Amino acid sequence: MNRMREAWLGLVIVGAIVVAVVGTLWLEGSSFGQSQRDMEAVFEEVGLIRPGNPIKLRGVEVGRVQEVSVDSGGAVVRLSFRVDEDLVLPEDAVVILSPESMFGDWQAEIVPRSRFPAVAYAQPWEPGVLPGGALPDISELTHTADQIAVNLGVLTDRMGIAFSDETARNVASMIDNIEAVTQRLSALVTQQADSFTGVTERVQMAVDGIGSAADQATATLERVDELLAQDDVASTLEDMAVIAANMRDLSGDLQGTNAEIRQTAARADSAFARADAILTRMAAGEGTMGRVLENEGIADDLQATVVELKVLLTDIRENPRRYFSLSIF
Amino acid sequence: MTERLLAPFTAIGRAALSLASGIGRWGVFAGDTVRSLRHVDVWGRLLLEQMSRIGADSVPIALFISTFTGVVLALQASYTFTGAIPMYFVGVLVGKTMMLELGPVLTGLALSGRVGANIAAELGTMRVTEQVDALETMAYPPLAYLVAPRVLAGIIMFPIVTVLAVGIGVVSGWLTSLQLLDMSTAEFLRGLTLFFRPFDVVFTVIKATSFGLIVTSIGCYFGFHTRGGAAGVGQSTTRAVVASSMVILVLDAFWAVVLL
Repeated sequence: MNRMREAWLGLVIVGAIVVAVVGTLWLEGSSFGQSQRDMEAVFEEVGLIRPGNPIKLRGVEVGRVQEVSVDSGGAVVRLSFRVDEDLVLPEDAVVILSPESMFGDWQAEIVPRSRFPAVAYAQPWEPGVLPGGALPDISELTHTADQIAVNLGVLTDRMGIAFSDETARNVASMIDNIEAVTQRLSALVTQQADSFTGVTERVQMAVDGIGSAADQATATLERVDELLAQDDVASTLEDMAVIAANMRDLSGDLQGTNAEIRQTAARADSAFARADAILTRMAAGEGTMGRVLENEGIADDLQATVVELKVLLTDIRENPRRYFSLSIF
Repeated sequence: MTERLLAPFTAIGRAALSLASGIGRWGVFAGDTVRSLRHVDVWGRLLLEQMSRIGADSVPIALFISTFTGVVLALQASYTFTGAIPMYFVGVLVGKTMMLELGPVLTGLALSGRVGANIAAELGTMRVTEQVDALETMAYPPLAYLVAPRVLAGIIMFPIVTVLAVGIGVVSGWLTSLQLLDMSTAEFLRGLTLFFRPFDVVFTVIKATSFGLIVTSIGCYFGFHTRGGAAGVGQSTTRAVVASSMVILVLDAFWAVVLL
C-alpha cells in the first residue's frame, strides 16, 4: 500500500472520529472549555422533560438538562442540569418545567417563585437543591377541556329534559308578561322623564344660585386677599401681638389672684370651722350665748332690756342734756 | 394429485431448510473465521490494505448518496409539514433520520453492492481458479489470509464511513434548508439539537458495525463457496448482494426493536 493510500485511509479515520466526537459534544450542548456547574431541582412530576432539553433564565438558554431520575422512595423526581459557572440566580429561585411548543419539546426555566406563586413546588430537603414545579401541558389542558365538554353535554341533556311543552308554554307566557311589564315600564319612564325634567330645571336653578354664591365668595376672598396684601395687616398683627402679651400678663395676674383666692378660701374654711365649733357649743348650751339660747326667760329679759335700751337711746338723742353736761372751762 | 397439492408446502419447506442450512453453514464459516484470527501474522499485514479498499475507497460513493439523501430529506420534510408544523422540525427530521435510519442503512446497502459484490467476486474467482485450493495445499490458512482481514476491515470501516455519511447528510440538509427553504441556521440547529441524544450516535455506530460484519462475512461466504466457472462467480456475487441487503434490512428492524 503506497503512502497516498495510507494517508487517505488515515484522513478518513480521523475525520470520522472528529465528526462523531465533536458533533456529539456540540449537539449535546457542551460548553467546549467554558466552566460550568452542576445543579439539581426536585419535582413532583416532570412532564416530557428529557436530557438535553434547554435550561433557560429570562428566556436565554444557560444550560442543558443532564439527567432525569426518580428519587429514592419515589416521592420526587430529581432533575440534574448544568449551567454556566458565573450564572447569578434570582432571589428565591425555582425551576419551572413547561412545554416549549405544542410539539412535545419541553424546557426548564429558572424563575423567582413570585412569578408562578400558585404552582405546587416540590420542596427539597438538601441545601443547594432548587424547588421545582411543572406547568400543565397541552394534554392536561385537553383533558380539562374534555371534562368541560362532558359537563356541557350533561347540562344540555338536562336542559332537554327540563324543556318540555309545558315549559315552553310557561316561557311563552313569561315572555308575554315581560312584554306587558316592559310597556308599563315604558309609560313609567315617560312619566318619570317629565318629572325628571322639572327636577332638572330646579337643580339647574340651584346650581345657578350656588354659582352666584360661589362668585360672591370668590369676590369676598379676593377682598380678603387684598386686605392681607396691604401694609395695615402688619400693624394689625403687631397689635394682635401686644394683645396676646397683655392676655399673657392678665393670665399671670389671674393665676396670682387664683392663689390669693385659694388662700382666702382656706382662711374662710378655717373661720367656718371655728364658727361651726362655736355654734355647736352654743347649741349644746355652753357659754353665755348658749345659756341665753337655752333659757327663754333670759332671752325675754334680754329682749326687754334691748327695748328699754332703745327707748333710752331715743331719749338720749332727743334730750342729751338730760344725761350729759359739757363744760369746757 | 397429492403431489400437486403438496407442491407449495414442499417448496416452502425446501426454502426453509435451505435457509436454515445456509445460516448453519454461514455460522460454521463464521466460527472458522473467528478461529483463524489466531493467525495475526497472516491477516495483520493485510488489514490496512483491506481497510483502505473497503472503507476509504467507499467514502466517495457513501458521501454522494448521503448528500442527496440530506437534500431530499429537507425538501420532503418541508413539503410534508405544509405550514402545520414549525419549520425547525426540518432539522429534527434530517438529524434523526440520518443518524438513526438512512445514514447507516443507505451506506450499508451501497457498500453491500460495492464491497460485498467485490469480495464475493474476488473470492469466487480465486475459488474457481483453485487459488484457494493452492493456499490450502501450501498449508496457508485461507480464512486468515482471505476472510479475516476483510471482515475485520468491514467491522472497523463501516462505522467510520457511516459517520462521515451522516455528517455530510446533515450538512447537506442544513444547506438545503438555508438555500431552498428560507430557513435560518438558528432554526435548523434548534431542530437538530432539540431531541438529540448521544445515544443516537452510539446507535448509528452499532448498526453500522453490524452491517459491516454482515456485508463482508456474507460476501466472503458466498465467494468462498463458489462453484462452477464464471457463471458461478456471477451467481455468488448476486447472492451475496441480495443476501446482505436483506440481512441489513432485517438487522435494521432488529436493532430498532432491541435498542430503541
